[in-house]
Amino acid sequence: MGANVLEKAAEKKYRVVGQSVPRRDGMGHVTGTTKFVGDVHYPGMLHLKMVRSPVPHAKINGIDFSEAEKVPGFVRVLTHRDVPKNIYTILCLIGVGPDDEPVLAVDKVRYQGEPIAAILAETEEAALEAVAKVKLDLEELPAVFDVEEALKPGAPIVADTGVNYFIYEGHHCRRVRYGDVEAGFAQADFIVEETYNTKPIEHAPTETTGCVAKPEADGRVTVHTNTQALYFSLDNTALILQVPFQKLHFVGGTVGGGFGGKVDVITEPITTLAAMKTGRPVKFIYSRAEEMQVSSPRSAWRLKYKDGVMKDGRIVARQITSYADAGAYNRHTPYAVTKHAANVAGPYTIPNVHIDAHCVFTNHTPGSAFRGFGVTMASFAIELQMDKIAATVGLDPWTIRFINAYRNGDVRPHRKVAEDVTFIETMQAAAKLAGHELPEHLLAMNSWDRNGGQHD
Amino acid sequence: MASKVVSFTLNGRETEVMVKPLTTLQVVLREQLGHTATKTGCRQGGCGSCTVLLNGEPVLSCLLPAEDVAGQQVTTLEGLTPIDGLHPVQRAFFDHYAVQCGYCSPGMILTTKALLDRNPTPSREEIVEAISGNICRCTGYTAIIEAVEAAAQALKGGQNGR
Amino acid sequence: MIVKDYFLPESLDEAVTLLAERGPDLLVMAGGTIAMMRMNEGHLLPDQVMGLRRVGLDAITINGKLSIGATTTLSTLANNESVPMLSQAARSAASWSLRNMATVGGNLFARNPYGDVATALLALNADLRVINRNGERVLPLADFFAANRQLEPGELLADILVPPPTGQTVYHKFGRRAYNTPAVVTIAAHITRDGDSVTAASIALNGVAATPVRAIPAEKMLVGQPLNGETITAAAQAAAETVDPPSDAVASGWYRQRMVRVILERVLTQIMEQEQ
Repeated sequence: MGANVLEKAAEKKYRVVGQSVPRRDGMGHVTGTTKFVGDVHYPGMLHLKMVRSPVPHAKINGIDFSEAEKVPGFVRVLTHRDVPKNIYTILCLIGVGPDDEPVLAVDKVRYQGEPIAAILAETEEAALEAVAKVKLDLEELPAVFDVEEALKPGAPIVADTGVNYFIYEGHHCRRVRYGDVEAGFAQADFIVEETYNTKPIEHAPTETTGCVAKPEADGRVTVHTNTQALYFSLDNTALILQVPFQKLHFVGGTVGGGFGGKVDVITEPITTLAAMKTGRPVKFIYSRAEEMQVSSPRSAWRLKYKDGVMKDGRIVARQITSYADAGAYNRHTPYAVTKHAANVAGPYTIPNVHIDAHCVFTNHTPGSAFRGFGVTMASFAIELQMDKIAATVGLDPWTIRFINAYRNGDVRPHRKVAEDVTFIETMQAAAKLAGHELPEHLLAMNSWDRNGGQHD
Repeated sequence: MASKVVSFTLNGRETEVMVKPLTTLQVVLREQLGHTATKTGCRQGGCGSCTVLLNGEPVLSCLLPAEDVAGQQVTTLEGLTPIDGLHPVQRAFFDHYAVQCGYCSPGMILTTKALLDRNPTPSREEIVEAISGNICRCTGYTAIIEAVEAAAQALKGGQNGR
Repeated sequence: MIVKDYFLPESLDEAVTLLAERGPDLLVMAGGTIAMMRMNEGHLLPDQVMGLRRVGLDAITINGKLSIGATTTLSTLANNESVPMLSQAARSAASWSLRNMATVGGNLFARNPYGDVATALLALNADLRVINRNGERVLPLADFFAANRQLEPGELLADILVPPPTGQTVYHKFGRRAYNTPAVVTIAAHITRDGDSVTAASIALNGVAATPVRAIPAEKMLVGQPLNGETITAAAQAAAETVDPPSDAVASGWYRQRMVRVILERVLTQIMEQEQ
């Protein structure tokens, strides 16, 4: 088992496991010679800056570029008409649909900062000045910012599907049904209910998101990018630009902080298009303000728990209704909600579980990946709820978790059989590290045999 | 107004460069002189990734017009790296795993150099205060503080980075 | 920003002459930590800019009053121990590298919740020496803030004049982190006592309004009273009740208002416990 590996490592029986290994990229980092995307410069390189929506929801009646075109150094503008397949969704690669997000806005904007047009100029200063001189004729629409408000009849409609939720195989949410929660509630000694909210969180990587695209003599385009998902970016860019995959050469792997914030495909398609349209290298790197405003944050979530609990601490029913604020478009949230639904009941074995997990569209910045997204917020809510249950029943927070902890072989609410579970052992080790003395009966428990005893 | 010639000493070498009005030192270093160890993190003076030493003092090159440094001494991380091997501060950062994504490292190392030039035996609190303007979003601060302590030890022992 | 002209005058005369000739379209900056940031983002697009790094206003002199040149860096002030509250305030601002650039004059223009040094200067009843091509005038810092930081066209801030403190001073910046942090609230207090009784009180708050402000009701309550648990609690309560702080990325107005009370209680208690 695990301990054995660590013992061997301690005896230096391995060259890597248990040993400190010099970082492969460490020398480049401490000498400042590691090449990040922003360090890529080409002669004649153009700079791309976005015209962005100043409001969260509006109809676009017109755009006037005439003053912008007069700025010295202005080269050209790109609008949705220039993008071969303007509407896309990142996860089309794994069958998620429908396409919902425009590379450049068509007739509406759905969040503040949404890109409307791309300005290309000889210098970054000229691009910024030209962007400032674009006149937008926008007709503001009522906006919705709360997940439950968005699901009410009569709410402003964000998505083109006509409903403010992602449709999961014909259903308005991702559903998990296991046992009979109503029967569980009827049997319970206590009902424990609470609502938990989390706010959006920005990754704020020190290096902002961006790329440089350079047309090559052989007709290919080389794209230096700081994406965390090189082939997501390449494949989506090829699909959006309607070019064969082999026409694009993506160079990546050096990421100045990502944390999930650089898995969306936002800068590469438009920058590659700009390079193809102008025949010149093009750089598009977010300013810090853009990174804060428009790069996808961790979504805000709302989670409602209703638990039926027995006097001895056993949870006999758990009903969860949760809402992810996806913002204006899919991005990775439909996937996050599915992952969330599989985890939101927690690492506890409960005989009756009912989950409705919603992916809701609002006029917020689209949310996306961020370190355990979908699950992190569930863990936050679950463990607060466990403490609340402990207080309600009158047991200590350790005991309530040991009693309900899942064991190897238990069936999870989404019908997976739990394997390689060491939750109890982890809690025992954590208590030891924290200097908390657990009572004998908790120390005697293990993840293999619910009735106690030792495993081999 | 046309560009002006600005002369300054960059990493010990006399340097002349044509700059457009109000171009930042950061842009001149990175885009005109190819010194890309100086990073671009926020251009708001908030992250410290563009830190350079001006006459030995840490400053933020993103907020500094290049014309303002005429006649002065500018040091970037390129100037700290010896011909072979590493400067003791660089060596300490490497050995103590004080680099993760690497984006804050140049600014962090230059700030450390400036700190140890002034205060060869900083307390942990003084280290924390000194590097508080250099943001590490990978949150590797513990390793960085240990590296600064190790660098102070190494410099005290007279290691000169060879 | 496509700046056509960047001027770096070598003297104050040259600077005010340029300002008079070029008029209000000439953007004036000292350390650049406010203006450059906004230009880098494209939020400020001036045609012409004047930098003050070489005009020779970067010294601190003592001649009865402390005179701080407007372009003195916060680092220089932090290293000058003549008025401890000022060096402490300067050291509490931003980071080492930013303090090496940002200036004391510029700090008076820093938007809420920045302006830590300005807060200490307000508590010390500082005056501003302002000059134009034809002469100079002296303007109380409080009036400058009351006028929303507007100088007359053609005027430049030359020096900040600080009368020597007559009583006890305590500066307390409360932020979200220990270092390099914007203020939730900053409080600078200058209290003069005669025996038990407070004879003069000057309390400046930052983070609670568009500019640093004096806590006048709290000051009035303290004058003529001894400093004790009761008077301190009442003054802190009065200060909190008379502010309506803004909410921003640093803190909510709700929280700031409560922290005004908590921090002012601590500041006044510290003064009470100090040797006079």
